[in-house]
Formats: sequence, C-alpha cells, structure tokens
Amino acid sequence: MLMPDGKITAEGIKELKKRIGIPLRIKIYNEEASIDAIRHFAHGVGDTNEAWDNPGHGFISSTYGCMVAPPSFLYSVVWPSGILAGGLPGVHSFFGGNDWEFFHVVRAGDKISAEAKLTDVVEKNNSKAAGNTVIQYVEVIYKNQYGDMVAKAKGWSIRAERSALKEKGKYANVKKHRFTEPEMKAIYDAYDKEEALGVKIRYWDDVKVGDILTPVAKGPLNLGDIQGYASGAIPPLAYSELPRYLKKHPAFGFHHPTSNRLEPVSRVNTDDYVAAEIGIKAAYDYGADRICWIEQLLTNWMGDDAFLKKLYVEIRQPDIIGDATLCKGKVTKKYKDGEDHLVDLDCWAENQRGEITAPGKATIRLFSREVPGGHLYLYEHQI
Amino acid sequence: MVLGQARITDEGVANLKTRVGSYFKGEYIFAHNHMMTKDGIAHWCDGIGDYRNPLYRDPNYAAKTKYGTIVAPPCSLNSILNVSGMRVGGLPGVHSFHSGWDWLWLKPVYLNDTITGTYRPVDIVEKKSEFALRTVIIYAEGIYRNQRDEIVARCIGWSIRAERGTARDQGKYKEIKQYWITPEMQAQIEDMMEKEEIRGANPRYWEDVNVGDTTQPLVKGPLGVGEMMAWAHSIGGGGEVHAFKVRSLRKHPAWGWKNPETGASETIDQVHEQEEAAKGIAIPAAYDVGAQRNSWVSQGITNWMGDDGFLKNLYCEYRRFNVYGDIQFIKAKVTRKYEKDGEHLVDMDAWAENQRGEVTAPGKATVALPSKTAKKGK
Repeated sequence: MLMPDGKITAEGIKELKKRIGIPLRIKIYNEEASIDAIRHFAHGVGDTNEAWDNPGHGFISSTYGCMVAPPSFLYSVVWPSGILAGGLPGVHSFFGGNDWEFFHVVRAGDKISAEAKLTDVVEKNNSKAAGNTVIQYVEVIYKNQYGDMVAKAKGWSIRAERSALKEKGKYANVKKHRFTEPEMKAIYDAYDKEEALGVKIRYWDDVKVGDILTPVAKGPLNLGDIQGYASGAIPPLAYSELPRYLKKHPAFGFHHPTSNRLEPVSRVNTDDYVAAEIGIKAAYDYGADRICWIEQLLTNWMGDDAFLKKLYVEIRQPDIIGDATLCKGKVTKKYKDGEDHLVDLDCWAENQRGEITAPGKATIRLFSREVPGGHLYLYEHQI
Repeated sequence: MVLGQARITDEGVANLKTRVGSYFKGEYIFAHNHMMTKDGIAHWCDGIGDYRNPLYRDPNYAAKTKYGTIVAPPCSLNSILNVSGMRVGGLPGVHSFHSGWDWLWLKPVYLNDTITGTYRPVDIVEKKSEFALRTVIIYAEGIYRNQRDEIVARCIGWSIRAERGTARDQGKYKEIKQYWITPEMQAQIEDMMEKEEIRGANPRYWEDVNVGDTTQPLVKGPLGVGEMMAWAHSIGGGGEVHAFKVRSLRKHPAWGWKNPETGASETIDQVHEQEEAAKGIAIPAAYDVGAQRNSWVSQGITNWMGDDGFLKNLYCEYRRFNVYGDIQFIKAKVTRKYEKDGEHLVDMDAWAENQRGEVTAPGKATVALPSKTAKKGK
C-alpha cells in the first residue's frame, strides 16, 4: 500500500469517542467576510453571480442594503466535516455531507468565528464498498462579531480502511470520461443558460410546486477546478508546514513513488495514482464544493432578497477528474410558517452518467406580495 | 501535441509594439486583492511558505513594532497587480515565461490599505535564445498606490515569448530526470526548516553587518502540487474554473489546451500543475511560478533584515525552471555597505539555487537597516 493503511479497532473508536462534546481545535481560513474574500470564494466555486463580485451590488437593491456573502461562504471559514475531529490514524475519510441551518445573512465586512464539537461516532458493519466503517458526526456553530449565531452545521465523515476500499473497489468501473464534441456543446449550452435572478424578486405567490430550477453546469472537472475551490476555501498544507504537520500526524503522510517526496493523503484530490490506491480511478473533488455548487443553483433561482434557511446534502459518490455535473432542483412544497413564506425544494448534483452524486433538500424564505417590501429581519442583537 | 502551436511573426511583433506606452484597463487588470486584509496577507504568506513571521500575521506582535500594525510583505503587492509582461497579451498561441522582476519599494503597506495599480507595456525586444528559435521579451511596468494616493512601489516585469513547437523540439531540458530525495536529504531540509530564523524584533543594526555576511538559507521543496495549490491562495491561481473558464477560453482560445484524456479544454496555467501541459512546451514536469520563486528570494531577505529593516529594491531573473521534485535553497550575501540620503544601506546578492547546485534565479537587493546612530522616532 502506498498510503498508510490503519485499521478500525475498538481501541481507536474508544479514543475517538473520548473527544465527544469537547471543543475541537480547528483552523479558520477566513476570519472576515471581506469583499476580496467573498469574491475569491465565489470565483473558486465558479459562481458568476455579480452579487459576489461587485461591492456596489445590493447597496440600493436588496433588503440588506449592502454586499453580502453567499450562504456557502461559511465553507471558507471552516469546512464542517466530520474529519475535524480527527481520530483513527491511517484510516481514510470520505466527507459524507452537511445539514445546514442558516439564521442570519453574512454582510461584507462581518467577522465570523466558529466552534466545532464531535457529537457522535457510529460503527457500521460490512458495507459493500468498504467493509467495516465508522461515521463521525460534528456540529459547527458560526457566529458574527456581534455574537449572533449566523448558522449551525451538522457534518459527517465516513471512515473506511484503505486496503478494504482498494479490494472491494466500489468505483472500479468509473472511468475518466472522454467527451465528444456534441457532449461538450451540451455542457457549454448549459453554462450559457445560467442566470442569477439577482435584484429581481421571486415572489412566493408566483412559485408553484413542481417548478424546475434552471440547472447549473460544472466541469468537466479538471485539476484546476479542484485547485480553484481550495484556493478560496481550504487552508493549504505545503512547504515547511507539511513536514511539521506530518511529524505530529505520521499516518497522514506517505512517499511519492517518483520522487520519494513526502506527501499528505489529501493527494487523492490531485493525483490519479493516489486515488487508485483506494479504488477510485482518478483524483476526485472535495465534496464541499459540490454542496457549494448546489447552493449556487439555489441562490441563482431565489434572488438577492430571498433567504436560504436550510440545506441538507449527502455526498453519495466522488466527482472525479473529467466528470461533468449538472446541479438541478425542483420545488416540492409551498407553505407559510408564522410570518415566513417558505418553499421546500429537492436539489441535487447529477453527473454525465445520469447518476445522482449528491442528493439534497432545501428550504428558502421568499418575499410575498402579502407583505409589500418584505419583513424587516433583525439580527439577534438588534431585538 | 496538446498545445496550440503558433509562430512569432513580424505582424505579431508589430502589433505588440503598438501597445507600448498605453495604460491597460479593464479585464487585463483584474486584482486578486484590492485591500490588504488580515486574511489576504495571511493567505499570501501561506502561498509562499512564509509561516513564521509574526509581523505579517499577529496583530498583538505587530502593534509593538514601529509600524504599529500588521504590514504586508513586499512581494505581496503581486496579489494586487501581477506585473510580469503576460498581461500585454498578443502573439496568440506563443507561450509566455515570466522571466524576471525589478521591484522598487517606497513605502510600507499597512493592514487594510487599499492598493490600486496601473499597468503598461514599456518595451518589446526581439532575441534569439538557446531554448527556442525566435523569441520576444515583453517589458511591463506597474505602479502601486495606496488610498492616500502615495506611490508605495513600482515593479518592472518581463516575460519571454517562445514558440511552443520549437521549444519542445530543441529540448533543452530533455536530460532532466525527476530528483529522488534520500532520507538524508529529507532530514537535512527538515532540519533547515526547523532552524528557520526570523530576526523580527531584534534589530539588525547596519553597524553590525559586514560585507560577506550571509543569510541563513531558506529551503523550499521538494516542489510538488501542494506548493502550486498553495500559491493559488496568494494570487488566485491564475486560471479560472467552470463558467469563468468557459468564458475565458471562448474569448482567448489560444490560452487553452485540450486535455487528451477528457477532451475538455483547460487553461494554460496548468503547466504548473499537470505534466501533460508542461510536456507540450518541452518541460519534463510541472514547474513553479517565477513570481513565487522570486517571493521566496524576498523572504530570505525579510527573514534576515528584521522588523526595522526595509527592502528597497529587489532585481531577480528566473534563469532555469524549478520542476516537481526539485529543491530550492534561498540564499543571500552582503556585497556592499554604504550610506545614502540619510539611509544606512546594504547591497546584497540574493538567489535561489537547486539541489544540483545550479543557480536558478540570480538577483540583487538593496536593504535599509536601522542604525545605532540614527535619531529615535525617524
């Protein structure tokens, strides 16, 4: 095995469970939702919505009166992944998904802090893909400089032994796709049809159950796209930080076969031969970026004045180099909750093989003509 | 052959020459950063591997220095505006290698300063190189101003345009094999990394410096995709993703190359990450970014000069590629010591040299140092 092949042991699980409830030591990538940071993040996701680019946007047009960050921006503060809790050295980790609840918008200039805790560790026996696995759950709370909780995220990661993954090879028949000219044209057409609603208002009154959202295209995935996402959201591990980190966490490192260079196991996201060690034919994306793509689908549709209240997405399978993704959505429910006019949606990421790689659900609050100008939503500290 | 092939023509060069002198605007002058925020400075530092200097990261530490706040490292202005000669454009399909910088810094850049840059091509020179047949060197100038309309720095950068097909055919780098690092070398560089010294709050007085003094070498490498991904944090990666990529390649198709496995079009900056792209221009492996290496050279000096030193000038040429697996040792040596206009200055040779002992980026610097005789509060 090229990479460390740790085993899931009762001892290891016991050690991990000791961390339940204790605040985790986490690395914050963005402390501030500066205009630059918002743009870097949005560009790394491939979100062309002018709202994230133009400081003047939203100044007079939206309910917030200023530039705001997309709800997915919080991924660039800290990615609420189960692996924040660490544990089980040498055992691989697949990001499994997030369950977000959003409470307040993040305005340009807001400072965001985060706290994370491990909440649960669940053993699963004999999955077809990976043998025995462990799922570890975290909860991350994001606050702004006023102490308002802007969002809460549950996240989970699936721990699986590398040799079992390689042996069982669930994704062995997934290959890099070679796109024909007509296939590429279909993808470019999807890109061309993308449009963010922006300053126009999508009234709850006009929405119907069954309404289909304009799909958002991503890919075909290349290393540059994976690098782009990381450059806006994930702290790098390189230069002198790498050997220093690997001294503390030796099971996170291995030697490159062509140069003997020390590398971290996150090379599964950049190098085909490393991903192959765990049964995946090509380098694969960070699951978080797929959730951000789905959020772009939603923010494109809902407009500047709407508010994403909830988002649940499972990452069911990796997106590999060469995969093209269409993010799609559909309105499933329309209802009122007190003064709020809400819609529920199914939303998901689908690849060129028609497989749903990340199914999800969302709840969005819209303006209604029943309340001209919309309600005034206040931060906690303003009430 | 995955990359577009084009020749340097007389028409292409004439067209380029018409661009000399006019200020560029708009899409060519996109900035990664407009404001030197705490995160922006930290990400720049992450991108070049400058992890330890608290002057650039720690507000409590920086408050006690003469600046009173965090400052931005000298080359981080590259995140405001990249002055390499590449933005001049022209000669579609002819590859571009950023080959050097000549920086002049006039004032410190403080936390949350808003910096703007102006950009214009200043010269087009034709040359014959050993590496490709017909080549053209494009010089550009960038002027950086802060929100007080003070000029904080001027940068001259130049890029060499070389025909892709011929570069590959001449194969200057054909003999290079990827370096295999031994456990002894790994231990040595880890030791050097641990021993990295930041002069910091302990002033390096001009009076105590002697011609011939050397800086403690910095080590960068072995180079891998991790370092190139990190560099993307500093200046936004250079390429675009998804919808941005599709739009960009539609407008500038010669900026792209076709990934042979997927058939999709990708941006040329992937020469720094993907071997297929690099091989299309005769480099045996992915290679680093010149500005990144130049920034390492500046770090070798900022580590040495301390919080009270000021890097005034750094000239550096990128003579050889730094490919994956290579290790760069960043060195500097004092060559001259003198006073000028009330400042106490040292000139230095500053360079990057690889594990084969080749100097890959030779340069010269001028640093202003604190003096024991200088009045307080200057």
